[in-house]
Amino acid sequence: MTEVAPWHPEFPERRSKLYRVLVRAEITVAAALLVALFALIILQVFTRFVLNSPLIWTEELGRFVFVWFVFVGATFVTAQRRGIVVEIVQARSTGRIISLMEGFAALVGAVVNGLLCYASIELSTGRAAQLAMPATGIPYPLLYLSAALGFALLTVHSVVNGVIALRYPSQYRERHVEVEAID
Amino acid sequence: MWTLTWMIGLLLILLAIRVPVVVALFVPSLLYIALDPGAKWGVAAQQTISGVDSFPLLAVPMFILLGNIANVSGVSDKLFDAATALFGRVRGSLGYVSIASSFGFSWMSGAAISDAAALGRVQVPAMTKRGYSSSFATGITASASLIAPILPPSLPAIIYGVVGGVSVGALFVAGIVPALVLVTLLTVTVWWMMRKRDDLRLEPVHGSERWIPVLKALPPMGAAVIVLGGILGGAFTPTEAAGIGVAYMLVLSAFYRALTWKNIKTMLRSTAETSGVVMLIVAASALFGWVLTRERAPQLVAEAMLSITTNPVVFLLLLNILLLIVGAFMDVTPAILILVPLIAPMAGDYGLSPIHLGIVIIFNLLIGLLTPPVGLVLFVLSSVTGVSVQQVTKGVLPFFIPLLGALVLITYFPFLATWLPGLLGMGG
Repeated sequence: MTEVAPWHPEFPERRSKLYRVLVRAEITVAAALLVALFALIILQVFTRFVLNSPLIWTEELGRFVFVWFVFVGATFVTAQRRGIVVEIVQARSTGRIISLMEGFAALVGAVVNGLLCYASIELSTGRAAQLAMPATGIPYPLLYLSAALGFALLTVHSVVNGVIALRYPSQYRERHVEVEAID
Repeated sequence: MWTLTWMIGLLLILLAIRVPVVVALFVPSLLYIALDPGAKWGVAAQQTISGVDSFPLLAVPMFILLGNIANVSGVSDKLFDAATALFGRVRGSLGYVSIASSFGFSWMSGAAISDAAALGRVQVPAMTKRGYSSSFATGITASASLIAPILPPSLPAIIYGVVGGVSVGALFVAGIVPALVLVTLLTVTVWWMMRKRDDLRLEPVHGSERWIPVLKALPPMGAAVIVLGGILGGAFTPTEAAGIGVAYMLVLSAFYRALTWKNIKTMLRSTAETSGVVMLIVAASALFGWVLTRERAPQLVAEAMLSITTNPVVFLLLLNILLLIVGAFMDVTPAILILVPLIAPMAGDYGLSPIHLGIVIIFNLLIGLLTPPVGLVLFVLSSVTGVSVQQVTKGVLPFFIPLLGALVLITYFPFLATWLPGLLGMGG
């Protein structure tokens, strides 16, 4: 596997086989959930228009799959540092200030995601533990598990992103230079 | 009011120091829950999950997928060839071709970035090769890419519809006339800029050379007919229409032999990536919106705004200024998610239609895609064409006249947005 610069989205994946397996798994699951979503929508239309007998559970199952898709999809996007950031402060000279900002942002992200993971577990073990979705009968804790798992993985990725941000401050200078090089 | 002030203040500070939008939205909300002795952490998860537990939102990944399939299937090339065959003889023809291709592609794509990436790759090299300046080529491509998120299927319209509680179908229809206004003003601008460029004409083509490219571009437009026809005819919800549009485009791409394993992987990954970025922000903003509602923030903001002015024209002017500034720094989706819960409830107080307000908000924020420092379309076009960001920015500058002209018309002539939905019995 070729080496890439620290700013490259796949930098941590190229450095660790375990991390690569994790991110690839996230991408694969997200893609599979997307296909499932598409299939459910088509099934809903097919049963209504062709069979003239719409299924009552397709919409609810579609929402269930979608929630999982959102939380799994968000994980690999964060792992590859593709989230939306407002870049008012631009990199200058060494990139140290941006590095500190990105490190701080990742730390805040880790705390927030950890807290939300805890909140999701609290939710799924509370009163909702006995409840199920009306049409499909899927227990609500299974829905909430998506958020618990998603935020747990987001916590891991935030920590990794923070380490990369602080350890390689020059990456922000390199990115700056690269944009200028294209110019 | 104090809670609202520190929450918004904290959000802005976090955004300014490069905290990702999604995290910046979560922090004040979680702090609010931590400071409330009666609140449990579980409510944070519940509100976050319920923010995306919505069937209309399923349309977002489906429409992104539709655009991605169109992209890998070479639809942009077909549209460009068809428009060139139709308008090639005219002076400065490729300027019009650029607008026409964008208009065609916009029926399949709901985001300016995908339009700019798909068409910029084809159009800009073709234009520069024929003597157009790279700044004009990128400028018109960038400006015309804003048609995509106004014309159905519009991703910002879905987000606004879900957050603002407005019919997505009605918003789709409401975008058609404003998109035509933009097309008209861009066309007039190209005419003005090219009126003395007699050298920029293509050789005329006749007979089959002219009509074959046009016929080849027709099948992809079927996706637009299915999506819009299905929604307008009441046969499909926007989500179902998106799914059927994807199915149609998949069949078409198989016919074009574009449905390779590599392309399928690219389409799925790219769709999951874009959706992942956007949808977690939707979830975070649901929690943020819940806190704002609990603190009666929309009412407080409305009272504050009404104390400044009760005149809807002045309100819209202030809104334009605010949104143009916000749009320059923030992407469209997070801006809609943060601002709409505060602004949308005010529409009634000023006698504005929520559909009109939605189109105004979306169009204002879209202009920000062409302005530094966060002008995403500028960066995307620079990256796919190799033209510098400065050159692209320079090229876009003259097109701010039609863009701002369209903004003024859309803002102060509400019927441009509300007439068609009203005519079709979709409110307005």
